[in-house]
Amino acid sequence: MNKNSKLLRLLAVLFAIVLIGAACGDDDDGDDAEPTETTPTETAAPVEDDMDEDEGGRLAAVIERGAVNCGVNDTLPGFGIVSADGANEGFDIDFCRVVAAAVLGDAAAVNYTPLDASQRFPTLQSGEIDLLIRNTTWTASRDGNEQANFLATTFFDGQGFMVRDDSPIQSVADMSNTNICVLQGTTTLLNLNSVLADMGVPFSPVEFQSNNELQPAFVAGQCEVWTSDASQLAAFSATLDVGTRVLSDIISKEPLGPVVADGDTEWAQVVNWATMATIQAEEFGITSSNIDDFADSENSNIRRFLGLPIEGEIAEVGLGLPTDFATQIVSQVGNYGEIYERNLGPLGLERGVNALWTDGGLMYVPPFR
Amino acid sequence: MTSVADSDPFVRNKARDAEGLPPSNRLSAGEWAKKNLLNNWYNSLITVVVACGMAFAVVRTLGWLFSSDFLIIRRNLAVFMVGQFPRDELWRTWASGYLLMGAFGVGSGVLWRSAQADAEEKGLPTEPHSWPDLLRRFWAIIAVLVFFVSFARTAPPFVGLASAFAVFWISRESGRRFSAAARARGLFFAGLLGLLSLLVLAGSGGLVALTVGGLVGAWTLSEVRRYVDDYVVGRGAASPEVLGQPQRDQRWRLPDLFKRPAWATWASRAAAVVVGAGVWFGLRAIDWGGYGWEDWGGLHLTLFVTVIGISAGLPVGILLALGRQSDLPVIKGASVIFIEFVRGVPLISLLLFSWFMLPLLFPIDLDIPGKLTRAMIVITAFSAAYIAEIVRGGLQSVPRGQVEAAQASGMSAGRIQRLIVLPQALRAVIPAMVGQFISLFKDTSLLAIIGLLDFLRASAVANAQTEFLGQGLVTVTYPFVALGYWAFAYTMSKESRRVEERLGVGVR
Repeated sequence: MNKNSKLLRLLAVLFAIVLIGAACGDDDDGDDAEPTETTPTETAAPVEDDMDEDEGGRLAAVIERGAVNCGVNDTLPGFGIVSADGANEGFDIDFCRVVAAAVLGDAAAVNYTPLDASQRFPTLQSGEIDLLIRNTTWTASRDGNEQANFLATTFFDGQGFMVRDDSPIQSVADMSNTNICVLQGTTTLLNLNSVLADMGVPFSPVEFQSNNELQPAFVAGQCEVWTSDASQLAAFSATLDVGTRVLSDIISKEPLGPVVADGDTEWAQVVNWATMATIQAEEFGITSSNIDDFADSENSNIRRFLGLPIEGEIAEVGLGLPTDFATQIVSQVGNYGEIYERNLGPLGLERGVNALWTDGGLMYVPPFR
Repeated sequence: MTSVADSDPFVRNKARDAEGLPPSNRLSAGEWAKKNLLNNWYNSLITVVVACGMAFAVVRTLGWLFSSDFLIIRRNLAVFMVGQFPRDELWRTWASGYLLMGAFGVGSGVLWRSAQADAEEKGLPTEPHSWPDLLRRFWAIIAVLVFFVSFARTAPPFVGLASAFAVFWISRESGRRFSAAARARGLFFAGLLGLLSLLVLAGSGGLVALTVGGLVGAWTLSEVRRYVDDYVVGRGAASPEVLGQPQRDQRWRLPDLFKRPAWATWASRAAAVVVGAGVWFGLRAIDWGGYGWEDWGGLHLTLFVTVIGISAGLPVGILLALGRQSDLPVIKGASVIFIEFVRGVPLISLLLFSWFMLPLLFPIDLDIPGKLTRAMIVITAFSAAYIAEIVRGGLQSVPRGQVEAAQASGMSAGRIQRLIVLPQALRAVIPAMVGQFISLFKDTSLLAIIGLLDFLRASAVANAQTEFLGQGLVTVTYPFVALGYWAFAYTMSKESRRVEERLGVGVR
């Protein structure tokens, strides 16, 4: 009996230690998620219209925390990588910084959470991240089934094909009985299966977990064709040590942009307008280097956009953002064109459909007034 | 078969015979090769084919070694070692590394010294202690380091590591001069240094401050008690040699005559609480700056999680093993359910559980711990469950008669476990336990799936950088990571064999 009561005491002490440990652990870290706003019962309720603007709690939670929790990719060239000095960098990363600059006035106030493709939506639903910017394609089923709210598209991509220089393949129709390298668990694979089946082209997919494994396989000739988002193929085509050709065939639409959880309209609007401000800034010709010249601009649209006082007009637009949020975004991160050139320029990606609408592209945003 | 090979040894043995020595069955290298590799036509053929294959592999490996560009590793060394830890706070990593090496040095010096004293007392052969001995013990890590320093040409980290090793050596040498009686003090000092290293690195974590406070309190308690025992209780009644030496294991034999008076017991407890709490609050009051471990990464993270998993999992595992053998149904049931549940699911699902489910289970008004803290709880639970079953095997190997004999001589249940059963049980299961530790070390690479940048993940991250994109440099980074893992795993298994030898496993 003595032995047992001793053990019982030991276990009680152990339990207490575990509890203390669990309670104290958070002293050290700054990237706690805010659990209160998106419990599953709340997100499950598909009554977005009922949530009026002062009810959304995530904006307040982000301001209180002083940092935006952003779900990102850390191994996608150009869009989300970790540099040698340990910093997150990339096109998607810059839009996390845009939101932080708009909401908190500090582009550096971001906690990055690297996510893989299969975990991104559960993590968004769990409330662990405020914002998902991880080359995520906007589709109807994701909008519906994953309780995700897709916002303004930042990059229009499409699925393309790459072959070796000396390959006889010129188009998708030539791909009969070829091996096609593709990443598993992606919409790329689904598109490949359905489009080639519709065209009646038989092929065998060779699936890989990541580009790190796929790329040597392609170089070694384990597959004749590599299919992926055209942006990625262009990046690899420019750097691979074998000669390659990207085909002109594009078999899908892949609009990529920021995603938030359903059920918080206020937060969604904040992210949306912060993102779109970069495009508007480019349209106005405002860059991070010349923004100071616009301080005494006479153009009322530009004054309104930058949050400069206009006689007889109330600056507050009611989004829950500071009036000078666009100024913060452009001065700290830059406009859309700058973000594009900084991250995707080195990969040799042309603007293409991602040019401004004034240049014949698709980048068109509603007026800021 | 042996007629060809025998001619030479025959002559040699004749000479030995003339000297009155028994015939030798040692073969020269050529004889050995003839006898074992080329003794008939098909063995010769196999030998030639295998030799060609091996030569080909060696040539190709050397070709890879000298043709590869290790720039990716040189550029990303910090990513491999510390992940995304802020670079202007890196001095914390180094400072804590030096403190930790000092802690290891003092600890191992003290342990070595007391083991030496023990051995001398019992007339057993003493352990060798020299530079070559340390090189032999850690040659794998040193070799891998030298290998990569020479190929990746990264001298500064090597200088840092060499000086850290110097700190280890110096503190170990100073540890040697501790008297045997101060062993507990030395170990306490080592533990304090270790915790201090955590404090410098992680900042004013409440848990670390609490642990340091507790440790200092416990030390105060034992010091005051020792003082009381030596100078108040033992006043002339017992020789100070008996009481002063740390023969705590024998203290239960002391007659009641030497029991501490109640006031002394309470005074020592009060002193312990005051000092411990003082240190705790003092440490909390200082702003250490520092970075919580949520920012840790790379090899640093891998090693840290392994060490925590082992050092927290071991005591919990032992308790679970004892609990499973308990006669009390609640404790037994709880232990069995815990062990069987945790062992029954893959680690990856436990990690995903900590990632997705734990936030939902926490009360809304309580802040959720960071993801590494959660992962660490899960990894500790996982290793505890496996260790529990290994320890149970050891417990069952101790003959029941020993426990009964101890009970008959009036020992309490706790003492029976501590002095009789556990030492034998743990000694018997060292190989299995080390196997578990090594597999835990490698399992930490699963942390990548919950978004932590561990040693293996650093390879993928480095290869995605624009500068190294599309050059197939996984052929450089994966071998680098593999060699890194191997060096530590091999050293762990080698050290465990040393411990086994010292404890005489498989001999007695």
